[in-house]
Amino acid sequence: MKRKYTKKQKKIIMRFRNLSVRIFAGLMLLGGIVGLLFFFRPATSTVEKRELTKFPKLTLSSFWDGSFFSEVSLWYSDTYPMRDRLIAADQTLKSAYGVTTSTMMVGGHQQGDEIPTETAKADTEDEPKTEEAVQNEDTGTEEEKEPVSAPDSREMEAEIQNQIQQGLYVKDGAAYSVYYYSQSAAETYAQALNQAAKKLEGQAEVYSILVPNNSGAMLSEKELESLGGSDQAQAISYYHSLYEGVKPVKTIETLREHNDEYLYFRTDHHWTQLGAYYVYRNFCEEKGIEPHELSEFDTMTFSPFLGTFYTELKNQDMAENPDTVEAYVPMGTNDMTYWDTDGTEYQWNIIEDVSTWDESSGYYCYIGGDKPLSIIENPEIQDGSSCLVLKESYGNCFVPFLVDHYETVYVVDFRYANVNVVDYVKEKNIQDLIIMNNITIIGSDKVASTIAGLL
Amino acid sequence: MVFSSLLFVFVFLVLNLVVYFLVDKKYKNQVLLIFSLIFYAWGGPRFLILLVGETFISWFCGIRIQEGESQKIRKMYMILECVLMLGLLGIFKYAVFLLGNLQALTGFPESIPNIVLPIGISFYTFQLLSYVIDVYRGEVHAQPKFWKLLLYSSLFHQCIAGPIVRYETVAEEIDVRKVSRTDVYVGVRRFCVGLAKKAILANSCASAADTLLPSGVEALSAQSTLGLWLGMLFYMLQIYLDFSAYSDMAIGMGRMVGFHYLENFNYPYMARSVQDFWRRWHISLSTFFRDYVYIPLGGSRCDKWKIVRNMSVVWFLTGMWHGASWNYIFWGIYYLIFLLLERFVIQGRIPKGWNHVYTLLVVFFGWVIFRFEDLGELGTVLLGLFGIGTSGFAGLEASTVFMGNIFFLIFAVIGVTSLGKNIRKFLFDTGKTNEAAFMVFNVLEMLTPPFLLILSVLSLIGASYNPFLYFQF
Repeated sequence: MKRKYTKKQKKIIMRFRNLSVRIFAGLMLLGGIVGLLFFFRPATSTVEKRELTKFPKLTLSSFWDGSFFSEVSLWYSDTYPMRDRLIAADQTLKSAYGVTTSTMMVGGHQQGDEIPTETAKADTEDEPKTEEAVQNEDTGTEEEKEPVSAPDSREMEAEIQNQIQQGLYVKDGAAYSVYYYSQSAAETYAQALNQAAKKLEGQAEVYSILVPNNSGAMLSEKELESLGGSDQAQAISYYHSLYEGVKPVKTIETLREHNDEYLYFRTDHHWTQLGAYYVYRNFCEEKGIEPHELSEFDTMTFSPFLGTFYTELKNQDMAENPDTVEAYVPMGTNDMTYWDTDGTEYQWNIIEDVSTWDESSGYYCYIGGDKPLSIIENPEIQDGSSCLVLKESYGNCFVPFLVDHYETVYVVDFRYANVNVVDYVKEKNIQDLIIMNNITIIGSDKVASTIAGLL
Repeated sequence: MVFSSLLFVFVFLVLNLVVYFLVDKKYKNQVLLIFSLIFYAWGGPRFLILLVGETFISWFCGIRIQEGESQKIRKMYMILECVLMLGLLGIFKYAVFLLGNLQALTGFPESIPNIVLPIGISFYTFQLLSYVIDVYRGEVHAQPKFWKLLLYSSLFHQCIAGPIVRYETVAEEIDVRKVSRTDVYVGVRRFCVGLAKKAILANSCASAADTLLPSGVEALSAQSTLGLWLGMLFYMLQIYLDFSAYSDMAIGMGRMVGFHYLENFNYPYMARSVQDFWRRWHISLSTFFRDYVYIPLGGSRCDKWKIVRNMSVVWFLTGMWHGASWNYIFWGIYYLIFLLLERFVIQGRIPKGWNHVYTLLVVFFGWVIFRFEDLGELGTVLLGLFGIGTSGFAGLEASTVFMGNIFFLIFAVIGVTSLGKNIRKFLFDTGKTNEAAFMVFNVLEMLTPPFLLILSVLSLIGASYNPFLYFQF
């Protein structure tokens, strides 16, 4: 027999339901009102290291095709008050979705191109295909020390992010990026360097430093093989085989020899300054100068450091065992000057004290992070010697070691500057052009041709 | 605008509900209409012209049919409506596809115009068609006021993502509707369930599916066999959760203001046959084709070959409706084959229990066809699911995604079954005599909507989390 609810029971049910509707209405109104607090809207996100979406400009066409409105929607949710805290709450929630195993793979459905054996190189070498890319850059003379902002640096950053995140292998609180070789990018890159060496023949030496990423330097052969990426040692030596007139600096062999040391961060995609130091020694050997010993430098230490891998993965093992940034201060000077993308000049420190910055900022202690143009003058050297380092962020912790060998060190980040580097080297009478890149980053055609465009 | 955006929830819906419940009864429809037009215009005001234009044509044809003196005139206006509606749908949705195929075959035309698909055109075009045909059939009265028909076609609850609401369902409620407290509560709960289904479940499924099923033949063949199965499982969950979530939200928002839209889904993954699946999946579309195509062609009350023809037409059209690409047409034909098999060969002879397995497998492979518009990718995945051409049987990435989502996966699978509904019913029934069950029932009834709302909002904000390596201030 089916009983029905009594009138009294129904009343109780209605009371609960009405209460529910009131709570719902209250929450909705609360959300709406908080959303209206414009002055509480954040403009940047510290966790994500990015500027949040700005309120869009209204134009007739953006109105008509609806892009204005979709931007408004994006802006609204991207800059919602207290978003960093709400995101953290959401991530706590999401961490209950499953179990984090100590060994993981995130992404990585790529297949690298086959790396040619060095004897096969003759086939590829004569193709003048990158000529155009090399030539199409405006080579107008630059105003003294004034970098020009690059309009497409955002796009370049996105491309680099893609490169880095193609495959992340996570093991015991450390992430490793898998490397995928690209034949066309390798050719573009090598050809651009050859071209630069040719143009600077008799004037300046061109050094190429290809830094492996952490998987190539730190993981065992067996582990590397199981990840399915391309062999970095083989790739680097193939790059080297394509060079003509460019002096390659040994990297991966040395780094592998020392890979029981702290050469790469576990929670960030960069190497440590210790890793850079070993490569610096190789550079000295190639150049024929005496390297300084590590013990000669004063050091600064920043800890804890939870870098980009952590920001991306929010891995608990990483949080429990964060990195430490150890920085070596150049002996000659700790002063530098850099110019921002809008041309503003700043006085800065080569090793900046970032201990009061948030814990994701450790790597910013080196030469002010990524700037279009930086210049370091060492007052203790007066021989007119100078070098220019063309780099991305892998070069940041390498540059401080060069300071004690040159009167002037110029640093150009290829993503933000569009000065023609070869002309600049000629104009400033620079003797050494050091082109330093992470092997993964230049594995993208876009990045490789951007570099080619600067040379 | 989409329902699952913070701007919709906290600005649009809040304003809409506040204004709606504050204004006098006689202006409530106007309020709904203005909000609906703003909602639609959010995706680009230029398409508003199309929506208003189509509605105007349909309004005009409806009136003409009703007032038509002869059957001939009435029929003429009905045909005019069909030609114009289907013609516009054809231009905006299928022209690029047809011209592309023509170009591939004959080299003509030389360039294909770039036509952007107006949001919701497939839904509102069908709604307007059903309205005019129903007027022609004498099943409903023509709506004398244009703006009221525009309210029907543009109503933001269902305008852009369904369900395809028939005019007869809402004809009376447009003019007279009563909202009880129960309506408001049930509407709120349904909306919150839908929002949570979309923001929490469907979006998470989508991100897992996209991780495991990247685009490009090369990337897909680097995936392992188990990775492909897992990815497709997430996609299968995603597509139901996503689509039914929109229907839930539409039904819920309608209910809050007194509209009773019909159900659009009935736990399709619990179906026991493919035919059963289609009785439970996107019901408003299936019944549309049944009432306006299948039955007018003679339905099942004719000889065997005519039945086959009628079903073929319906399933070709069903495939086409889902998108202008070959894989959707294949998808329709794929279902046609299984429906014909069930009707003429299998005839319900699959043992109980196994019929579930059979149905789910058919639906699973159906979604493979549905997902990949690129036929190269489709082939790669179909072969890969059988272990051909993959990077191996299992891979670290697939196990990472699996382990990282294992509790979520269990929850999502439960979410597509009627378990939740049954538990609620059990508590409701036992609560009549059992005091404890009654309290549990009431507390759950009270807490479910706000709890789901909070979680959904967190998810929506969390979705904007986009750590950008190298981005700096």
